[in-house]
Amino acid sequence: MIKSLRIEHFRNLKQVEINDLGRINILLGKNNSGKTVIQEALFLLAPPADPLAALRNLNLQRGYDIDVDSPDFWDSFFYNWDITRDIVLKVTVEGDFPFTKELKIKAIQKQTDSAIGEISESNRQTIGLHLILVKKESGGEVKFERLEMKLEHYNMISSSLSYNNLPGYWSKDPSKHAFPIAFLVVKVAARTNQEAQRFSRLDTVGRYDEILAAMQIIEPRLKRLIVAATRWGNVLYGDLGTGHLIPISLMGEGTTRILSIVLALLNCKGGIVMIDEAESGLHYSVLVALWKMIAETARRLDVQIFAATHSYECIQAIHEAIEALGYTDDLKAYRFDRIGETTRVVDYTAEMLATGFEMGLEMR
Amino acid sequence: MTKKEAKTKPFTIEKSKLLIVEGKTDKDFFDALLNSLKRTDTQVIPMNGKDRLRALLEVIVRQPDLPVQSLIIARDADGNPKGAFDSVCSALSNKNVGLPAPKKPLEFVEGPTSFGKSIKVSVIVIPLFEQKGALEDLLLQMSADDPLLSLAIKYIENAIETLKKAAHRPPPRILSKAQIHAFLATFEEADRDPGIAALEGVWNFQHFAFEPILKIVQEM
Repeated sequence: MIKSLRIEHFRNLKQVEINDLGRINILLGKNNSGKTVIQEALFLLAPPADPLAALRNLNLQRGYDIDVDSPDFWDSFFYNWDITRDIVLKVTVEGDFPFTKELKIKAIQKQTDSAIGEISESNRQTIGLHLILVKKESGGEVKFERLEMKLEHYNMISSSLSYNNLPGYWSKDPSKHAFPIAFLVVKVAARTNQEAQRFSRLDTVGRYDEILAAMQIIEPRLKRLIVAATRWGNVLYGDLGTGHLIPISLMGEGTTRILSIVLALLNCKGGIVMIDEAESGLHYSVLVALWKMIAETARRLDVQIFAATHSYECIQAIHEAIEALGYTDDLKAYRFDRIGETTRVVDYTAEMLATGFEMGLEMR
Repeated sequence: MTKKEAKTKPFTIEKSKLLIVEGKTDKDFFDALLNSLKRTDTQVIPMNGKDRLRALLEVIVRQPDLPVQSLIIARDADGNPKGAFDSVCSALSNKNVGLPAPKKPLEFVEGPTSFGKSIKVSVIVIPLFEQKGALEDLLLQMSADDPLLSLAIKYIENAIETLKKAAHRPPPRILSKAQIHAFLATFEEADRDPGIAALEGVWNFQHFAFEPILKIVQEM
């Protein structure tokens, strides 16, 4: 489980350190305070098997649809678009095999043509990123591995400096250095085929009942789930007892959201599930039951949750669910307050949240 | 509507001066005092139980955009005035609160905070000057000139004597509370508690017994 996270010069965060993370972490703060950036940093630290696709996706999920041949694509990851300061993302992971991971991202620049041949800021542009991932294992014998990758818009070059005979290629054996991670972004609708595949993978290993029980939180009429192979791909259907199976994706935003969450949880054993806009699409009356399911599953499968929300009702529901289960030690909340150039991280324990709710005090 | 649903609209501390008091009666009393001083820059909130102070302060110092620059915590001395003061100071200096704690009651101390602003903090232990008791003991002192008060006190004394002889039931646990309620029962609106009575102008905030509190509140 990740216990601490440090971010330097990434997106809109100049420097942030979060310590003593819990199993379930609620991320709070005003718009543009950095909640999503925390999730993006964790996503890159996993690291993704295909970093270029991951970087593209991170921008796309924000609606920043810009091509990789633009310097702005690369510069957008740097704080204040200042490429002279490297991005540093670092996690400390505790557990049976504790380790730290640090991802340093440097801009790769190229001198463009200049009429008078001078080198200046104006004729240099970012053409890619140099990613250096260092993992140090601290349990028993101290080992570390270092992986490097250069991403360039016209030519993806992979190279590495490896120690201890570790993989010489970033994505060759991600299991060596990755933790499973799922990033649920509210703006992106679940892809029918992808969800059907995830469902089938779990169904074949006997996890069907868990998925159905989770889905029944929001749709009690749901009798069964079935994947049907169609000419256009695999589709997950639900049986509401109406005589006609209905594609889950047509049942409503809340249903697809719960499906995405439960599939992510069950597929992320020992990993991280990040939920952006946790309240989105869900009626308040299902929130407590949903979060009980999330909290129980997270404990059982050793999953760590990072959920961003603006909703007081949602925070209350998460707290109520955790308290009812007696898992209060699992819960932490963090609010990111922007004060000028700096970001203040304000942490809440479950006890503090309880006091806040009892007094009706603002905590978001 | 359940209790939890009823509190889905949170409130914020939005004034630069904050008075934290024990309960609803104390809140009404200090609100009345501030009204009498025409002070609109001060917010009064109850801690709803003395043992809740640390937890409340932990959440208050974490409030987004907290504007508080001056804080007074007022609580009853009960049977241990020093213990009451020390308990408040311990809550203030708890690592999750991190506020400056004064060296003695009715003095301000100024210091940095985790929310980025400097703050002035003071503690009032009622009924002042290391006396045991609560708000009602102070109210007895503030109403000492009223002839009805001595009658109310006499009535409670007689009642206690009668209860002792007849042993119908236990006498009032806190004498000053019984005396103040008997005194308030002599007014036209006989069912007011000391807080409501304050809002309706019963207590004389200019009384010399109240002067130290008046002074520290004016200095906030």
